[in-house]
Amino acid sequence: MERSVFEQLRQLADLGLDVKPCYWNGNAFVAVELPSQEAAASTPLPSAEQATSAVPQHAPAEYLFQPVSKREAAKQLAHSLFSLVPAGVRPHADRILRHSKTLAVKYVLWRGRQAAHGYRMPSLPLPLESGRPLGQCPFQPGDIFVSMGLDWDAAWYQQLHDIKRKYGIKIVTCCYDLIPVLFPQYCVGDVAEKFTSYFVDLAHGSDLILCISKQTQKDLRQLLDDTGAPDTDTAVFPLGDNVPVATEPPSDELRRITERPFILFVSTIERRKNHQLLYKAYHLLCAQGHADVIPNLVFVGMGGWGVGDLLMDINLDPLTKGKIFQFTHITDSALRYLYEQCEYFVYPSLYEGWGLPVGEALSLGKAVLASDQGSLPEVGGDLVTYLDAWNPRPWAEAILELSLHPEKVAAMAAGVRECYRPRTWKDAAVVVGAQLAKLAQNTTTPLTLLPGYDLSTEVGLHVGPHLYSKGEPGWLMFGPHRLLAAGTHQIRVLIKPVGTAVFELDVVGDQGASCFFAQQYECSGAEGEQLLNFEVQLERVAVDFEVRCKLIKGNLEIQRVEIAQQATSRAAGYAGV
Amino acid sequence: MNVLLLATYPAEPALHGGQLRLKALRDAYERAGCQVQVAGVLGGDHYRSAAGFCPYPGNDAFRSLIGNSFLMEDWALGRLFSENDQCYDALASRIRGEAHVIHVEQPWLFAFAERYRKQTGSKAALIYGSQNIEHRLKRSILGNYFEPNHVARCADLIEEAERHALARADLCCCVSQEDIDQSRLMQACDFILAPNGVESWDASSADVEAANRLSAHAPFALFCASAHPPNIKGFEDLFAGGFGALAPHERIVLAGSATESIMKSATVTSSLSLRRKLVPAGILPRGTLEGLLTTARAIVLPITQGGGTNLKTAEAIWADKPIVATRVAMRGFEAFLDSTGVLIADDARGFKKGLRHAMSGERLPNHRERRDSVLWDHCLAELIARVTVRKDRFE
Repeated sequence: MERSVFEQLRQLADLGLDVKPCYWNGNAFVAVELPSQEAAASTPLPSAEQATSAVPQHAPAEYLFQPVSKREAAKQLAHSLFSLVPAGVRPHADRILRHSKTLAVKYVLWRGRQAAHGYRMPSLPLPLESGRPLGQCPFQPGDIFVSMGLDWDAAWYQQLHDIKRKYGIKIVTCCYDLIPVLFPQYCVGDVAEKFTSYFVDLAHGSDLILCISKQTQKDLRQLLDDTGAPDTDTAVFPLGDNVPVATEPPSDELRRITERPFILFVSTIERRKNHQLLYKAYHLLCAQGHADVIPNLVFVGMGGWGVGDLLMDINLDPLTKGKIFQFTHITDSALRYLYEQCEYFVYPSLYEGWGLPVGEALSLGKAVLASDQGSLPEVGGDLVTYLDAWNPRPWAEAILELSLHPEKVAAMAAGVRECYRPRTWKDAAVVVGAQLAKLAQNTTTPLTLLPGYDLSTEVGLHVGPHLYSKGEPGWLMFGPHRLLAAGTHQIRVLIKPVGTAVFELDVVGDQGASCFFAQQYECSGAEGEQLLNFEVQLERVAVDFEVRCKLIKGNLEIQRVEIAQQATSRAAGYAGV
Repeated sequence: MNVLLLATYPAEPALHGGQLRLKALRDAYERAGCQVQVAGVLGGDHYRSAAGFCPYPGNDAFRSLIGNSFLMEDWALGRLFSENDQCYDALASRIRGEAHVIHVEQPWLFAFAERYRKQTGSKAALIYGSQNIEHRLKRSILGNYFEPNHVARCADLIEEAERHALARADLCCCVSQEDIDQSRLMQACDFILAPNGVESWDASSADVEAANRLSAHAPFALFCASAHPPNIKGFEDLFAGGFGALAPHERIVLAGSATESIMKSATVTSSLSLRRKLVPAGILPRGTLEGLLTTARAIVLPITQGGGTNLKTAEAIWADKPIVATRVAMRGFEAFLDSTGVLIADDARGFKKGLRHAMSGERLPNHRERRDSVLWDHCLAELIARVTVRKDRFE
């Protein structure tokens, strides 16, 4: 999805944004240099694993065997070993393996909880250590950083808030769904607290969170409201329909399976997707003697977590024998063939953040029976027939009805072909692009620094948000060591002298090598709080920007520093991968 | 004028609200020119020995009075030291000289005071210092641990002790008008309002630096509380359900003896988003606490149970910081509800939202000019004046 949106965004010339990819190398964000727009489509964007691994000695195309991730390698090894187990013993071996996996997961989680229950003084989030001097980071003030990826395991998402403050950029992130928070029972391990924490961090670090459906948007807003998180802006954008492309003819096995009518369900086999409901519906229909009337049922998808017993039931149930088939690891061509050949498509999921396969089926003109849970009604609207996700009987009745009245299936499909407009990734990019353009045009809010929290001192005392001097001359205030955009900036410093205070204020960059403003002041405490105003002009982006106060005589309290930009800077969009 | 102050805890070190109030009373009487002795029975093993105090007798001593004395120790102490001759004598022998006024904080040692007055032929005025509607408070605390029948029995025993004190006291001082109204329904008495308060402070640079070491200069909200069960329950109730109110660099500093129980509570152990925000400072020197009060960005008072008034509320008001509190926490301080810096919320969602607003700096308090009304001098002035009005008779 992130690749598709990125490529479409780059092609939207009227956005007025320069869109570039970047990735996290374990220490910092690094810009990806693409040779040209034409080559970009064929240039693979670095994956997280590639980015964090050592620089390879040879390009991947030179290897005899294409390397895969360690996780994938382990899975393929397990797959191969299991294939060597005699067929008669396989059901028992499978049970043992699934039970062992459950125990292993529980052990890992238990270890994690043991560590979590001990409390200690938590450290503040470490300042973003880029490992690179500020001047070489790819972000400039006013840039927009966009992450469309699945980033909850990324090391940097907790730093978004700091990144924004340090570089003066805007951040756009993406929320697919809140299933780990709302339905942790369908996930591996106790994920609710981790994902609650993740979404809270996104809310604090983002200027905009893109949601893939209105349901996801609603769920996210509810979570943010419940947890007291900020009311971050959200916007919904449509996912493109990933219609598979056929490049080769179907295999003989596929042709055999599709000789008889069948209905299709494309999804990973996991509890939330609710394959069990369809199995129960088929069991009911077969028990009622309708096995010969109803179509076969084809599942396309890998077996996931917690479905071992279901797959065993399907394998062993004499009533449904020969009616339910499962395909895993099929090609796009094969998938397309199955879509085209099926009588209609079914999707009984217990909850979705979107429902891509429903869109795929509708794009290929197929009638669809689906549950009405989560975002599913947003995908096909009135073109889909909705059934109760918790009751197999309405599904059994509907499947039997459509079996006995194929003209109804035809009418439903005709309605889909006439009215369904497939969603494209260009549609997605247009919506995202419009949001980015709006964000780019938004006036930058003044930067407010609270010296007690945000700035440093050599001779003063941090007292809450303020800095107090202690009667000692020297550097009372300096920092924040961040980037500041080129242009004119109005700077206001709120002070409260104690008695008569003599001090110098200056504005510098490049570790003090560049000075943009310097002035000495003598202020009397009799006047109470005073606001000192001045302007600085920056010809270029200031690196390591600081507002400093050197106390010469007397005592002073510094309460606030505000920096308001008077002129806009260029906006570049960075798409994080 | 000699004043005997009776309590089930010493005045110093003043770690919890009852001790702070006792110390404030002692100091106020002394400033009014009285000779004050603080005496009583230590209400638990955790109190250090103190002059004038009998040691805690241990739970075994209560067996003949009540089957399960858990959370009823204070009531049991009162009965023991008024009815058991040996215990009575042990405490009576610690009392110096002739008391002109016997001020009993909470109802537990009131029966002892009555017996003492009768047996010594004293004509001392008896003052009942009510801190709460005790039977209601005990009912809600015991309800967290016991089945309803036991709770009801215990609450009845407490209520009997309260009614007795109200009936026999020459004067009853209550911490809030609401408590006066409720007490009047129980028993007619001469009532006077003596709210809970706080001592003023001016944190030194060393105190601020000590506080900064705990907070690491991060903006933080402060929750300071003793291990009184309602404090812990309130935190659990109002911070439950995931936590997103603080920015990544902000924190909540937990101070006081409630810290350990809060850190072990289900609300904290089940929420990563909350856990990583907490700085468990625990019990601190008073100076460091004052440093925290001075440098806090906001103060939270998540109290959902209990009567009386909360000393920490008085402290928060005097600190002149944005406060996020429940209505229960603000009981007795209703005059400050209109302060721009006081945000009221009684449910978890509202409380967290209020905390976010308080930390943003958008809601600064505007009650600085009237905050002196929460100082102990002001709170106890009427009581002291009333008690010492005839002081010259005893000099």
